[in-house]
Amino acid sequence: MTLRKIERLDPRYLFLILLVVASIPMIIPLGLPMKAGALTEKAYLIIESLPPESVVVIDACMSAGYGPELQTQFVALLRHLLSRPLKVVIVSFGTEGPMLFDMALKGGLISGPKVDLEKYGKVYGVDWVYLGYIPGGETAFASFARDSWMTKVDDENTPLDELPIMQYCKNIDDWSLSITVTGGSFEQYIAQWSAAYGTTLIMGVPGVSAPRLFPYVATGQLAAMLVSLRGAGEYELLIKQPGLGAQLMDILNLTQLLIVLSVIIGNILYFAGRLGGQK
Amino acid sequence: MRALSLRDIAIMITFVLGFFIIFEYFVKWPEVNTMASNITQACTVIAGLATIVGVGNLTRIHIRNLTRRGPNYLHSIVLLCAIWIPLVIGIMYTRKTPSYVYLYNNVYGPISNAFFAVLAFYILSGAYRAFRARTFDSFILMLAAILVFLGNAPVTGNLWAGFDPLGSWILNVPNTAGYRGVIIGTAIGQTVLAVRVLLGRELGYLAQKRE
Amino acid sequence: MVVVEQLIYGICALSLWSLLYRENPIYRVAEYFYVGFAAANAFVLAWEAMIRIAWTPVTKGQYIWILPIILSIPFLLFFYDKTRSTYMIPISVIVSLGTALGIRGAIHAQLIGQIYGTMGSLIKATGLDTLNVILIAIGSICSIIYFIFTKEIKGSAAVIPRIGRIFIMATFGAAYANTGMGRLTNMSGIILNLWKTDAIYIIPVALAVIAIDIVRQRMQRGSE
Repeated sequence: MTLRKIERLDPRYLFLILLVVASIPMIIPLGLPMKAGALTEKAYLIIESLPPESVVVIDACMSAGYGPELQTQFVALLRHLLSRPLKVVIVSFGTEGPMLFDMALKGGLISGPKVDLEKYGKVYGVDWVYLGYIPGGETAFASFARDSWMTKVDDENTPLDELPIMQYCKNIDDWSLSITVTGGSFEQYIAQWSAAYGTTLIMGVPGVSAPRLFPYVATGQLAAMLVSLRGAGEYELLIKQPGLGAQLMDILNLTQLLIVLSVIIGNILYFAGRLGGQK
Repeated sequence: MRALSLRDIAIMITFVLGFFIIFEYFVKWPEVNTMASNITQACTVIAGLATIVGVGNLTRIHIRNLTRRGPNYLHSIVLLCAIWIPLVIGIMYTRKTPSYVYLYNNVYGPISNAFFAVLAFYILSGAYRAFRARTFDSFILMLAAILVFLGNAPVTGNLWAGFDPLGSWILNVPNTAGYRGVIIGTAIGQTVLAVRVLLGRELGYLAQKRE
Repeated sequence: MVVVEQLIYGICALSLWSLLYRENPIYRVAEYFYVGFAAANAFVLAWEAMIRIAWTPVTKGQYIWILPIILSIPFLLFFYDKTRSTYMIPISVIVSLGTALGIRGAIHAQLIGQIYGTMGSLIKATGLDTLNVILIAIGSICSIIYFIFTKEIKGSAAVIPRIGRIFIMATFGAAYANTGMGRLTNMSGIILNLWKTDAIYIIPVALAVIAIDIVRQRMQRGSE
C-alpha cells in the first residue's frame, strides 16, 4: 500500500479504529488516574464555603444531544448541593431540562445512577424545590432574576406561597450563588445575572463552548466553570461520589490520544509524500 | 396621510417597548420596574407559544410532501407521527406521562445523543486526512490543538507533568486574547444592529425589506 | 431477562450511526423522528409554562394575564394567507424585549467588562501572571484590530494584525481540541451503554446487516 493510499484512507476505516480504541477500556478497565483542575476545584470551594441556609439557584438547562457531558456535571453539582445545608432552587430555561432533571433523579443511561434524595435527608419545599421550565431565553433570565416567583407555582402546580423555601428566594438579591448547566446562551446568563447584579455565577458547559468563556473567567464575570466530562469527572472526585463521569474518563483519555496521533501521523505522511514527490 | 399598517404598528411597538426596557435599566422607580418585570414575564409566555409556528410549518410542509408523493414522502409520515403523537399526549396528559417519558428517554434521547456524537468520527477523519500544517498559521493552529488535547487528557500527566499546565496556559492566555477580540467585535456589531432594529431601520425580523 | 429499553436504546443509537457506513433509510427515519419530537417537545413544555405563568393567574382573577395569551393567537393565524401579517405584532414584542435586554448585556458584560478586564489591572502578584496579563492585552488589541479594520494595513504596522491572526489561530486550535473532547464525550457515553447494557445484543445484528450489504454491493459490482 503506497503512502498516498494510507494518507487517503477511506474514512470508514478510521471510524472503525475509533470504535475499537473506544471499546478497549470496556474490555480491559484501565482506571487511569485523574486530578482536579483549577476551575473545577474553584467551583467546589465556592459551594463548600457557602454559609448554611444560603440560597443557591441552579438551572438545569441540559439537552440530550450533549448527553453525559452536561448531565454528569448537573448530577455531580446537585449531589454536592444536597449534601450541604443549603436551600436549592432548581429551574429549567431549556426545553429538555425538565425531562433530563427527572432522569437525573431516577437514573438513566445518559445520567448514570440516580440522585438518591433520601440519602441527603432533604425535604421538598423546605430544602429544595423545582420550579419547572420557563421559556423565553434571555428574557426569561432577566425576568426570573427580578422576580423568582414568576412561575406562580412549582413543577407540581403547588402555589409558591405554600413552599417555605420560596420565602427565602424572592429575587436575585436573595441568591448567594447561581449555577447554570447549559449548552447555549452563556453570554446572556453572564449579562443578565452576573454583570447586571453582581451575583456569583458558576457554569457547567460543554467542551465545544468552553474556550469562548475563558475571557469571562479571566475578568471574574464567571467565577468558575466545569468543562465537559472532564469537569464532571473531576467534580465527582472532589465530592468523593464517583458516577458516570469517572466511568467515561478512560474512554475519553484514549480517544483524545488517538486524535493527537492521527494529526501527527497524517502530517508525517503528507510531508513524507511531498518529499518523496520532490525526489 | 396614509392609514397605519400592521408593519407600522409593529415598528412602533418595537421602538416604544425596546426603549422603555432600556430606560427602565437606569431608574429605580418601583412602578416602572414592576411594569417592566411584568412585561418581560408576559414576553416569556409569548416567546414560548411561538414554537407553534415551527410545529405548524413542519406539519404543513410534510403533509404537502405526503399528498404529492414528494421525495422521501414515507419519512414524512414518521415526522408527522413524531410531532403529533407526543404533542397530543403531552398536552392532554402532561410531559410526566409514562408514555411521553418513555419516548423521550428511550428513543429521542439516544438519537439526539448519537446525532451529536457522529461529529466525533468526522473530527478524527478530519484530523487524519485534512489537518495539515502547510503554513505557519496552520502550524500554530495545529500546535495549539495538540497541546490542548494533551492537556485535556488527564493520563498525559503521567508522561510529562507539563502537558496540563501548558494546555491550561493556551486556554487561559492566547485563547482568551483571541476570543476577547471576537467578543468585543461581536458586542459592537450586536449593539449597532440592536439600535437599528429599535429605530425601525432593520426590518428583517418582520420579513420585510430593509429601509 | 433482557431489558427492552436498553435494546431500543441500542437500536436508536446504531440506526443513527449507520450514517457512518453510508446514507440509508434507517438513518433517515431516526433523523426525521428527532426533528419531529424536538418540535413537539418544545411546544409541550411551552404550553405547560403558559398554563403556569399566565393561565393559572387568570383563573385566580388576575385577568391582565390573558393579554400574553391573546397576543400569541396571531401565531396560529400565521398559517392563513389573509391573516398572516398579524404575526408581526407578537414578533415585535419578542424582538423589542430581546433586543433591549441584549443591548444592556452586550454593552455592560461584553464591551465594558471585557475592555476593563483587558486594561484594568496589568500588574499582578507574580511576574508570570503579569506577563500573561500583558500578553492577553497585546493579543486582544491585535485581534480586535485584525477584525475591525477591513482595509489591509501595510508597512511596518502590518505586524499588528499579523500578531492578532496568530492569537486567533491559537484560539481556533483550542476550540478544535475542546470541540473534539466534547464530541468524544458524547460518543463515549454511547459506547459505554452499548457495551455495559443489553444494547450489546444489537451490535452483532448491526455488524451482520453491514456485512450483508457489503456482500450485496460486491455481487452487484461483479454482475455489472
